[in-house]
Amino acid sequence: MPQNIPLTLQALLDDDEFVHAARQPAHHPRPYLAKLREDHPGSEALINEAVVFVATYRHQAVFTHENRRQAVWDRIESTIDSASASRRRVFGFIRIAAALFLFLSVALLFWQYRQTISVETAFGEIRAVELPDHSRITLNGNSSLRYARNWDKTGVREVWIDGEGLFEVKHLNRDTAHITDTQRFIVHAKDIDIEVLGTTFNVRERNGKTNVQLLSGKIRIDDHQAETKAGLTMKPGEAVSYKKKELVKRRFSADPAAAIAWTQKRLAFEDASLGEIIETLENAYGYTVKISDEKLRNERIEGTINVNHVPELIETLESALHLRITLKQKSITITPN
Amino acid sequence: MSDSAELWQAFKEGDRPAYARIYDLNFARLCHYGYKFTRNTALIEDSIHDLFARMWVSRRKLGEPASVKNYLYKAFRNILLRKLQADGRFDDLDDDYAFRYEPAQDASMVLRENEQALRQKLQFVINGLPARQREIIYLRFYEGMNYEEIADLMAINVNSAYKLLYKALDKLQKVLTLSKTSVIMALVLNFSLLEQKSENIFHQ
Repeated sequence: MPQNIPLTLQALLDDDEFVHAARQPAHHPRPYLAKLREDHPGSEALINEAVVFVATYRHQAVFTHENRRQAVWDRIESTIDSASASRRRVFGFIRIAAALFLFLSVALLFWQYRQTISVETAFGEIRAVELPDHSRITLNGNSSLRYARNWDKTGVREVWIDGEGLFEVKHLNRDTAHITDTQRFIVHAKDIDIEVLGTTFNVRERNGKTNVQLLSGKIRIDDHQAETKAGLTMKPGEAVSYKKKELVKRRFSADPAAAIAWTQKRLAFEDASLGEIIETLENAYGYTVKISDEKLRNERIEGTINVNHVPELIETLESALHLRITLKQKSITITPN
Repeated sequence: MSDSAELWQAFKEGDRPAYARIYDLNFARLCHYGYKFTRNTALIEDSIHDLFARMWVSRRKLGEPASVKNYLYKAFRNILLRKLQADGRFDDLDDDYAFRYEPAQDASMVLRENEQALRQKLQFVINGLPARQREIIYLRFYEGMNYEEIADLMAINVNSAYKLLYKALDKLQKVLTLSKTSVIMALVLNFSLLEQKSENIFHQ
């Protein structure tokens, strides 16, 4: 505070140091007050007045509420203890929920990854399936085709067949010496795998026997036998039959197209036995066939049968093999004539 | 202050005894400060409870205040005023009795006439001021806060704090300077005894 200037009450009460000194008890040394008196000789009364004001003002009724100190503290403690307990509970719940969520997410992803698309046909139904790579598969009656829902565009193309289907595989490979995974296409039949490089072929997997008729292009058969690891490479027009992983027949068909006549809803057979024809009627068309003499199954029809309807086929069989065949709704009875 | 800063640090790290110590050091003065706003002692207790409960829960997020006491006053004031407002009975401060000057009752001490006169004058002048001016006088002379601390606590800027106190002091001055110097002098002689007594009560 500047010296030799008359003090005002206002100026004193505005001064932090004065207020600090005035708040000290009178018996305390209060050097700041002494200095003020010295610096402002005429202001003794005013300084005292200001000190008295502060002292008098501070001499107030006090509300300490001391008897409630413990009670309020007990309340605070119980609040914070229950708060942290409930927070632990909430955190515990969140942790469990998070773990569960993570587990379900992974499971769902895995399930989706493993998830396959399945196409099934009823008896006599023919259905065309187009795969994500635009390969076409025509599925015969009572057959099914499965492939991965998330068709891997960068990996091997794979499908699983049960029954009969005509495969027209999109050709991706230009250089047969260097085949990348992306270009590979594998058909899994019951006993064998057929590796394709872009081609058309028919797979017929019925009653434990798998027939493959190649129409164009090149395919390799892998029968999972160690000794034939290299597999069997088929040429166009060639047909093979496997029974329990054993190659039972390999020949060139005179009419390879007969193998896929079914796609035109036509019944076509080439040098077929009666047993084979019965199988087709049972498996693809859902007929129940009763035969009076099992030996008749080995009767063979030389040449080609190519008809449009089952009654037509029955007529052909009756005249070629001298049989009496009755057709009643979905059941067929065959007896020698 | 360094003691309370250490206590504060320990409390922030989750030290329960330090937390309890802060409570013990401040319970009485917060009650007294709260009583300046309201006679509803349950509301004061609730506010102290809320203040300390919230402090504990959010202790890691709290900063390091220059003065723990001022921090507590400010937080306590906010909580209490909000409760008072929620009660719908108060606008901000109650002009009727917030921060009224109520002299201590000294039954043992027979006050001189002139001391009684000064007290009555202070009561008359201070209690005639608006509540906010009474509050600033309390913070300035009872709590000994400087303008920055007052401005922070009352959530006003420092200039407003100056102006507010100036208005209050102006009215006080008019009344106080009317007192005869001799009366004041006589009072001063008595005050060594009086102050000693009051400091025992108010010592912080």
